[in-house]
Amino acid sequence: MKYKIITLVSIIVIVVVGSVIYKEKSVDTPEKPVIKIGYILPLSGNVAFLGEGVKNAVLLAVEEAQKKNTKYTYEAVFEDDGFVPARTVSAFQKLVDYDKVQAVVTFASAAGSAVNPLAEKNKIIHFGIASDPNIAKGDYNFINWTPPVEEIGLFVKEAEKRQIKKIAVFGQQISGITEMIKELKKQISGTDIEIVYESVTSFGTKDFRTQVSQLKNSGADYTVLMMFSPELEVLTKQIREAGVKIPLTSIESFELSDNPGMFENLWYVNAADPTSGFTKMYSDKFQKNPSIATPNGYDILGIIVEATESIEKKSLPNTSDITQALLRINNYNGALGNGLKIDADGLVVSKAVLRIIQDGKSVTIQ
Amino acid sequence: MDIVPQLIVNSIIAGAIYTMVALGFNLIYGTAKFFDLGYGALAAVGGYAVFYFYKTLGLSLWIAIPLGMVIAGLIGFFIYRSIYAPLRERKSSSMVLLVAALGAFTALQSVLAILFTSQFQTLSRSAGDERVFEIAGGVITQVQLIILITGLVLMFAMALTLKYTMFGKAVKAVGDDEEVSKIVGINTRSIIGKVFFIGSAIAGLAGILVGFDTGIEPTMGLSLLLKGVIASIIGGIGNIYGGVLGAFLLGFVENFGIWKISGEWKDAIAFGVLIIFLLVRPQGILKK
Repeated sequence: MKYKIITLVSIIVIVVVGSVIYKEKSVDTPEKPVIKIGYILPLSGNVAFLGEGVKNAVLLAVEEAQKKNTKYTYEAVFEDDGFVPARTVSAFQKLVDYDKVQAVVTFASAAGSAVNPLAEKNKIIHFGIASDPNIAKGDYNFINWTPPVEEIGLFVKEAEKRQIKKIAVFGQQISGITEMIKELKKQISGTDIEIVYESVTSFGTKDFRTQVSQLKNSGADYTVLMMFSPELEVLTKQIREAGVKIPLTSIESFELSDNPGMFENLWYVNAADPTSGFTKMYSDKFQKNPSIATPNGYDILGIIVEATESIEKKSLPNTSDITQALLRINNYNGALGNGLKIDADGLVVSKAVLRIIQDGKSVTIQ
Repeated sequence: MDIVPQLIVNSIIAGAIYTMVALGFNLIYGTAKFFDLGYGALAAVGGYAVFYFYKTLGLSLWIAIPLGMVIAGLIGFFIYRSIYAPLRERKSSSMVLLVAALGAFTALQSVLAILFTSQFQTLSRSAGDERVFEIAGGVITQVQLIILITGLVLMFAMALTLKYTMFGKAVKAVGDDEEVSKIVGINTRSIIGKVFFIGSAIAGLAGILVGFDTGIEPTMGLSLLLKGVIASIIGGIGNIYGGVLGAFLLGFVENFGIWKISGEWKDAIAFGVLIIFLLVRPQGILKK
């Protein structure tokens, strides 16, 4: 009886061990190594609709990457920061420590500024979809957004064409907007344009009545809004309630509102347009037009894929290898057009456009 | 064009908003002697209740607004009976009560964010079509006028109630000395419960009116609460007239304070005034 049990156990052990060894040997081809890219987006809160747009575009980019015969598998991991920089930092730590991402993408300057030093410290590639050029400082930091110099350049040109001499500026305490105002002051020096009123308020301000009274008496020809939602809509409502007739324009802001109809027939300057091909692909898939920053989110993944695939290395490339490869990108064809490249400052250069809101939708006029 | 008339109107509007918050806060503090942080979140509760009844279910404003106030009042009453009353009976320190109130505030705010998302919402159905009145060179909207009138009506109603009704006298007695009130036969637990209901309903009304004027979001209560507290302290905490005086003073100081400087300084000015009062006249303008 004892021998029978020993024989039976031995047979079971041999079968189990044998099958494990067989299974290990029978794996014909190893799975492709995975490159993970973390996206920290505002998927909740007041600008969640913008984060959702970028997320959709990134999912589209992942699908596109999977269709190609790539050396690596590319995965996008999404984290919600609710547009709160403190949450951006914890989301970054989670993506680095737990998800082991090689790259992180952030949305807006406040998030980008928070992640910039962390990306350098952790040697993680960081792309900011943001205006503040300081976010691209360092070896691992990049920006894919039309820079303030381009947007302000176009704004000043348009203002001169429309013979606007006196402008009032409303901004918010966020590095992207303060950089934009700084650039505006730089570019209007030596022109006939002057800022006759300037108001920069902190996030969460909902009472602009005193500033609106000052605006009313400023003698401005135009009011330039550089604000995020919902302060943008609250200010606009208070301007209209106070009977201020000074026309409104903006740099990007009208696209940051989920109620663009509020800005009907108003012209403004925006970051680069997506290509018609991308717009069609996006609209076909999601039954709506791409919102602001969607082509940028899409292209960041595509650029990382192109850079990583170009690396001739048998082992998995590290972030330093990918960073070097990113700087060699000089003819990327993506959602923002053809021939995109990353300049020496880490910026994916693209051109600003002039738009108008018509029937509640943005239409490019130049 | 002169900016001063509009600044005066703006100051009065801000003062009227702070008045409503300060009235309810002062009523609760004056009676229960307790810094109810949860009070701030009840403003948001009122706003979101009206958002649900008026904008989602399409009920009439005449039904939605009283419902919003009652819901805010009931939640305030429930929080008192389930959290604050047991802690008070156990003679918990004011620090324990403060932490409990902070917990209630955070929990209410989170529940609102879960139920309605953190998205900023407006209560008015047609933005920008509001009636606007011109008073002495300043512009005021219909909602702002309603806020102003409501604040003043509330102040007089509360003053008359406290002075001429049995309930009002009991509230004052509990506020003066809770232990003695018990000895003379006042049901202090019931009185404080009613005060929490009324104070919370006033907070709800403030949230509703602010929601019509600017909009609502789950975190709106904190800034309202802070301004209400500053108004109460500089006016004289626990004193109804003091709270109103403090509210209008704060409104004027804030609006005229940023006349020549950036709007970013508004909150700094408000807290600067608070610090000055705490150092120079901690009892406020009017003593209780």
